[in-house]
This record gives sequence, C-alpha cells and structure tokens, in this order.
Amino acid sequence: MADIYEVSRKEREERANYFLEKFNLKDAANSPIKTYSHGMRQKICIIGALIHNPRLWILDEPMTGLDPQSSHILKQQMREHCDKGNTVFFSSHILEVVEKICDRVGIIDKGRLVAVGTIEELKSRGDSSLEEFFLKLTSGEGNE
Amino acid sequence: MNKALNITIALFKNSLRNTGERKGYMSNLMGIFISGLVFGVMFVFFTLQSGPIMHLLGLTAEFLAMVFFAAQIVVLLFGTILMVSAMFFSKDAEFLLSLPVPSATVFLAKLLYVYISELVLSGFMVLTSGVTYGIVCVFGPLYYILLIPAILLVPMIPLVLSSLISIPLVFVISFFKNKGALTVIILIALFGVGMYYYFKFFSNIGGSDGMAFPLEEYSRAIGYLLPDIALARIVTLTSEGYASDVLMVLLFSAGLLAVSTLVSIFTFKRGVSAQLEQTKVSSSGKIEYTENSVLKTLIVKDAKEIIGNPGLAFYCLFQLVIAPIIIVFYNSMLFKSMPEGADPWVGFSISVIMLFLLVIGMNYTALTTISREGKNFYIMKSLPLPLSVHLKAKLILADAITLAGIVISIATMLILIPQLIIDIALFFLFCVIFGIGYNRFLVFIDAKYPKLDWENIVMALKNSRNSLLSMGVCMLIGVVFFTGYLLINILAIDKVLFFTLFWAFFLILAIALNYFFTRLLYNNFEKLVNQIE
Repeated sequence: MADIYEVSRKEREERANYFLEKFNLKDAANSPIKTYSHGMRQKICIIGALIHNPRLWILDEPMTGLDPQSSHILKQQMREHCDKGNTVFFSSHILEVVEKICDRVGIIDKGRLVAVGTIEELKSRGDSSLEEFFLKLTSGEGNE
Repeated sequence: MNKALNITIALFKNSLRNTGERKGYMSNLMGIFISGLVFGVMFVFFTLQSGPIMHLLGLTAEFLAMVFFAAQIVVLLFGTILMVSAMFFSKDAEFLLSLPVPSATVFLAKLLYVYISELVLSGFMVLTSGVTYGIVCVFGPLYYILLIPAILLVPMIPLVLSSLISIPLVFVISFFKNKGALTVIILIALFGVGMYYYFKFFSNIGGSDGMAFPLEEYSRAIGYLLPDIALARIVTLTSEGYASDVLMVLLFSAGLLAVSTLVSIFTFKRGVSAQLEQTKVSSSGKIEYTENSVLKTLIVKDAKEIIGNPGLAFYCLFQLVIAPIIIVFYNSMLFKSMPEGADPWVGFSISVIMLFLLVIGMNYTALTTISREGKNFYIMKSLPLPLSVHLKAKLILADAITLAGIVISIATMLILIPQLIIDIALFFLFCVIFGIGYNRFLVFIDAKYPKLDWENIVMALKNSRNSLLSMGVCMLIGVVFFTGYLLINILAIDKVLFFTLFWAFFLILAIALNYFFTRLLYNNFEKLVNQIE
C-alpha cells in the first residue's frame, strides 16, 4: 500500500510503527496476514488505508470486529484527525459511538438520506438520544 | 455417505450456479462442444489407426488397457492439481471442516467432487476411443454394456492414488514455512517425474531393431498395468479367469479408496488447518521496511498471488517443464524408431506444435489476468492508479513466463536438432513476436469474459471457454505452420526459395498479429474493465 501511494521509506516507517504500536500489532507485524484473526485483519486494513496520511478518511463500519481497546484507539485517531482540520466520513450502526464523536450525522433509510445535521440539531426535536430520533425517523414518524 | 453426498451436491451447485449472464454461459457451452468435437476426432483417428491392428495381432485387451492408462495419466496429472487445490486451498475448506461431520466425510465429499469433475474428460476419452474400437472390431452389445462401469472405474484409481500422495504430502509441508511455494515446487517436480516415466514407458516399448510393435515386449509392458489390463479383459470378454480379474479391479479401486480414507482421518484436517493458518514467524525480529516502485510492487503482488495458490501456480508454470520434456521424448522416440539418416525436420515439426500449444496457447498467467483477482477485483479498481499501470504490470509478468517457456523449449530443440539451427533461430524470433502479441489477445479475452466469482480458481479454469478458445486459436495457427513446413520439406523442389517465402510470411504474420492483438487490447481494456461490476 505504501508503494502504491508512493510514501517515502522514512514516512512509511514512522507511520507504520506509530499505528502498529497504537493498535498493539507490533508483535504480529512479521507474521503473514493469513495468520491474523478477524480483528487483527481489520486493524491492518485500517493501517494500510491510512499509511499515506490522507486528509479525507472514508471508512465503512470501521469498528466492526475490533476489541474495545482498539475501537477506543480508532475513535481517538478519528477525533484527532478531525481536530487537525481534516475530515472523517464513516458509516456505523453503533449510534452511541456516532453520538459521542461525530460533528455531523446523516441518516439513511432505504437508500434515501432522510436527515442530516449536527447532533444538537437532530436532538432538538425533543429526543433524548440519537437512537430515539433514529427509530422514530425510520419508523415513519418525523421524516424530513 | 448421505452427508458426503449432500456436501458434494452443494459443492457442484456452488461452482455451476448460473450468474445470470446467459450470453457468457451459452458461449462457454459452445466452446466446450467445439473442443469436444475436435478432441473427439483426434481420439477416433488414433483408435482407427491402432485399434484394428492390435486386435488382429491378438492384443485386443492390451489396446483398451492402453486407452484406460492414457485416460488415467491425464486424470493423475491434472486431477492431482485439482485435488490439492480443492482439498487444501479452496475458500470453502474452513467452513466445511467446521461443520458437525467427521473430517473423513468432508474428504470423501471433496474426493467425489474431484472424481465427477475428472470423469467428464476421462469418460469422454474412454467413451470415444472405446466405442470406436468396438465398432471397428465388431464387438457384441455386451462390450458396450461393460464399457459403462469401466468408464466409471477408470478415473478412480489415479484419483485415489493422488489423494494417497497429496494428503501426507500436504501434511508434511504443513510444518514448513512458504507452504504455497513448496507445494508448487513439489507438484511440478512430481509432474515432471510422472511425465518422464510415462514417456519412458512408451519409448521403451519400441524394440532396438526399430520394430514398431514388438508384440511380446508390448504385451509384457501393458501387463504391468494390472487393474487396467484386468478391466480391459473383462470388457472385451477375453479374460481367462473372470473372478481373478474382477477381484483385481475391486482390490485396486475399493482397496485404495479404503486406505486413502483411513489416511485422511489422521492427516486431512491437520493439512487443511495448516494451510489456513501458517506457522507464525518469530516476533523477535526487527521489522524491515523496503521501498519499491509502483510497477514492481504490482508485479511482485501478482507473482506472490500465483505462487501462493499451488493449483494456479501449477497451471501457470507447468508449461516450463512439460514442453521441453515432451520435445525431448518425441524426438528421442523418433530417432529410435526411424532408420538412420531420418530427416530432423519431423522432430522440429512436432516440437513446433508442442511449443505452440503448451507454451503460447496455454499461458494461464495471461489468461487469468483479471479472473485471478476474484472477489478482490474491486481493490484493483479502487486503487488510485490508472488501469494502464495495472495492465503493464500484468503483461510484464505474463510475458516473462512466456519468454522463459520459449527460451527453455528452443534451447531443448537446439540441443536435440542442432542441424536446423537457422530454422530454430527463425522460429525463436517468430515465437517471441507472436507469443508476446498472443498474450495481449489472452488478456483481452479475460477482460471480456472474466470469471471472478470462484471459490477455487482451478475449477474456474478447467473447461473454461477462455482456455479452450486460447488453445484452439493457437492450435490452428500451429497446424498451419506445421503443415506448411511439412509440405515444403516433402514436396518443394527449390527448398531455399520456398523456405525463404515461408519464413518471410510467418514473420510478417507474427508482426501483424502482434500489432493487431496489441491494438485490440489497448483500445478496449479500460472500457471492458470499467464494465465489470
């Protein structure tokens, strides 16, 4: 992946070591990916996607298969990346996570974007949580 | 047995499911039908040439045993690859072993799956030759009735033999690193040894005085093929002791099956599990980072993917071994059987056909350019690289293998027939220009008719329209070349003039085809790949 994105040797070493350390994969780095568990493969895929330090991250259900510690680390990374002025665009079914870390949320129901806005904007209609809002919206009430 | 049958049916349903593209499905069937017709004609021709003579010489059962043996060699060589691939490197292996059935049941199901797959080809060979033999020798209806169980039994012995070889082999390999590469090397070595002894067997049959059919020696040689000669004697009703012949056949078939099932109980699951989970490398080593160009990375990635799948690697690399072996043996047999002073162009002509068919026509590296990506094809499309870069990397790998095959075969021809050095040098030039161009044609075919939805790529390759089309087109050009060369040697008075024209024509044809195939590919590749979902 680093070769494909033409990442210099120095930079790939720095970033790979950083993420391997963060995701606790350093001990498995020399093992074939074939020997990895599902969670480890998920982590190595994330590292591969981020090795070239993209400004925009597009992640599809990135927390699936991750242990709680790795999931926490990834959320931290996503938050840090955004705080530097970059963008993370990801999909998730874990609404608690979405509510906790996202700046803006879009809700898709049956292929249609039915709501978009900040957490506060979406909850301003009286729902105590994003989950409540989501369930109400997708059950037919309160479609925008 | 019921559970094994259910699993087998599921395996076939999975590999034969109609993906909805009726056009591709029908043209695949048409391709298989046409190839069947061509090969059927060849088998009929062979039987008509040799069958009646052997029947008249009292070698009735021996001829049929030879047909059985030839079919078994094909099954042994190619069925072993399918067996190793289906048993140990198939994507459904992990799922099947996690089912609540004994591993021996999974083994039997896979064996049955491979058996039925190989039965198609071996059955076709035996049926075509067997029926023709029956007609020309005027056998009664009982012969045809007995031929049916014989067709079912013929592929069983080599398959069970190959499972007896492959299961312990994979079990032993499971303790080593680089399992994929090791399995490939061993399979190709076994293949080479198998072909060597196969041709040695037949080349030794010819007597030293050059007689084509030294009866006693031939009969003795075929007699070593105990189950085949026993089966052939039963079918042709020439047995002197039916009970002992039936017992011989059952002993080999059922006996070997029982032994291989017993062996599989202890080694099959371990062998499959070991392929799925490679031995962990020691973590104490420092992580090393290397840097390569984009092109080199893509080429290395493709090469590793091929080597990592022994079945695919065998198909991509066996031409490097088989073509020179066949060239050596056909030339050796010719020199042995012909009187002194025989023209070397006969050996050259046969070598040409082998090179055309095996090295250029069966370049699976080019033919699986897109298909071997399988379900990971979307990664190729989503990487931030122009498709032209992917194409360049894949062509470099395919061309490297083609060139290696051409160089090895040409070097073999130079050693055997040094008198034709000029012809061989010109043929080398022709092969390089045409072979490289033909690779572009094969890549075009694969981009146009890719097979991405596979669990086991070897099954996707077998009987595919693409490989049959590739062999057919190359064979056609090879036959035209061979015929022209033969006719000039036999008929031409002014050979220098005709050979000059001959080589000029074919070199210009090679350049023209190279240009045409290259344009065909480059004008259509992006459009075709973008159309693939």
